[in-house]
Amino acid sequence: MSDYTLPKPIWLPMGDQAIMLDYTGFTPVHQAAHKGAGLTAEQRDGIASHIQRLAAHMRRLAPAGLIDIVPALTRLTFVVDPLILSHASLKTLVMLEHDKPLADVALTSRHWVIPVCYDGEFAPDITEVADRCEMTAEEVISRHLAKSLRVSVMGFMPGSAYLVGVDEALTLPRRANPRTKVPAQSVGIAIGQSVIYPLDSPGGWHLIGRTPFPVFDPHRPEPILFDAGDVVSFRRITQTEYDELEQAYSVGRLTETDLRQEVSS
Amino acid sequence: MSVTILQPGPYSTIQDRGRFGYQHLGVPTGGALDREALAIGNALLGNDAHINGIEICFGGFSVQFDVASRITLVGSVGATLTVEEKSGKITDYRTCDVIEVGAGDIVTVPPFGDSLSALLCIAGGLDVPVIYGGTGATPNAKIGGFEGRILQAGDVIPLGKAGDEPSPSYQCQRDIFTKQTELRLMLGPQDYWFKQEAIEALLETSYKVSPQTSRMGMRLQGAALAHKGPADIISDAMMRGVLQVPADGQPIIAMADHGTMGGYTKIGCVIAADIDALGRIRPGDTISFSSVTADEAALALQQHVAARRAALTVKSEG
Repeated sequence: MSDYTLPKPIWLPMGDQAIMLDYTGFTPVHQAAHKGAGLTAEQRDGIASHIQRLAAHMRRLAPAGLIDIVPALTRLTFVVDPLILSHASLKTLVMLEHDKPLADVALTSRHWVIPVCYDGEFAPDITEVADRCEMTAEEVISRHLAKSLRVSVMGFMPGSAYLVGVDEALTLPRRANPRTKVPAQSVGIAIGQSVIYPLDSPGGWHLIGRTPFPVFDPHRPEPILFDAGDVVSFRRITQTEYDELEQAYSVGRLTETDLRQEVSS
Repeated sequence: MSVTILQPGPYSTIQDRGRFGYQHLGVPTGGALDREALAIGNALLGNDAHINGIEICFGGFSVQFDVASRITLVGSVGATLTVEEKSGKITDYRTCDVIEVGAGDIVTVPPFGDSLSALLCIAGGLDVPVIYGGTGATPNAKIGGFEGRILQAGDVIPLGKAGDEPSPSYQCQRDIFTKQTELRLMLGPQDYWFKQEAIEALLETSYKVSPQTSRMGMRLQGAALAHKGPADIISDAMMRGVLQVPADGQPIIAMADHGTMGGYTKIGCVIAADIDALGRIRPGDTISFSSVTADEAALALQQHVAARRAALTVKSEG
């Protein structure tokens, strides 16, 4: 990553209250630019990590009139109060910081071990995933368990994390027919990523398991479990253990700290 | 010190200005559909700007006060409000009237026909928990407001502490809540991904607001906007007022409860001067768009703010 040079980003306005820095850029080949198809996985990781650092840095600087900073995988959006901070001033402020070495901007990198039950009603798509990936359901599970994933970006709903680093053999497009209701805490895979649904919501990911621990709970002091940069791995549990852990959570005997693992490097 | 919801209407929620600074964790900004109406309601009552109110979509709402309070209804020209005292005396009011209600009074907002939403503001607001810097409800994320949901009959909601009566007291011309169906937008950030005919269709034809409209998004029906390629992008940030265009070419305007990330191409975004007007547009209305530059948007916002200030005037004595 240290040797990697970032592509030169371009600024694109999103109305007068927001402006985004787009690292996929324009090229004569619109489609490649648009889908980020011209980027390797390593380049994308480099861009995503730079975006998170620049976002954290600007959040700390907190210039007047900068209301929100919303990182995505290849684009970073700044929301402003246009009566206080013009797009032109914001661009100047950001570009002054942009090329500084941001490598020392500390990002969170907690390691979470999430218990997941891959059985029965919790895994309605596991047979289809296994068939389409030409492997057994057990192999799908062991491949999902084998890798540590990283939160590349948070978003859409409170607490939802896009987890990257899923075994490439499990890469599938999203479901052709999204479900109208996916239960909260479902674990899904698609497009080479994994997610844990924070809420009951519509969804198009393939569901292969469920965790008894909510990644979002508005009644917790810290309702949202993950942040960008965190490492997430999974631990297989049985249906009985699922019930026990769910019960333990409901009475306060299972907390966030029970899921934290000290990073051994 | 509380109010009891007697009739919730089809979609009523507690709303404030919104949540800012937490979208990077996936927390939607939410907040009132018509934030400038909320600001005016708070000014009329002498509330601080962060105080919440009850956002009532379509009307059909009634609530009972167990203490004397001061209220106003804002966000619509045509909406009315009746106060029924314990004696049986009924008094009718209009938007922007500042009303003293007594303990036991029942306040009713019958169905109204112009605006999508109106806001019932109460001196001191409603005392509900702050989560991520806001008290407004985003029901699809189950956060904020009263138990993270839309209001139901029987809900008993504590009232916040009211300040002193505002001095000087303000009055407001209710015609500033006139529905505006011609909206100005800035093209981008992904307008380059649309065919020229699509840009022309967006700016030269009109769109009908679909019944499938919610606090998350206003779905439009009209000329399909054709992409140069696939409609999906690598997901990026969303913004209230953004026009997303999925593969079917029918635009969806992001509203207050939009998710923080979106994966459809964004052809344009309604400018700040017109963003609150979205909270007054109803399903079935016909709307149209014009494109402005960044400089024109800045000027429009200054003019808009000046007009809002001029509409709120100090009440003369007597």
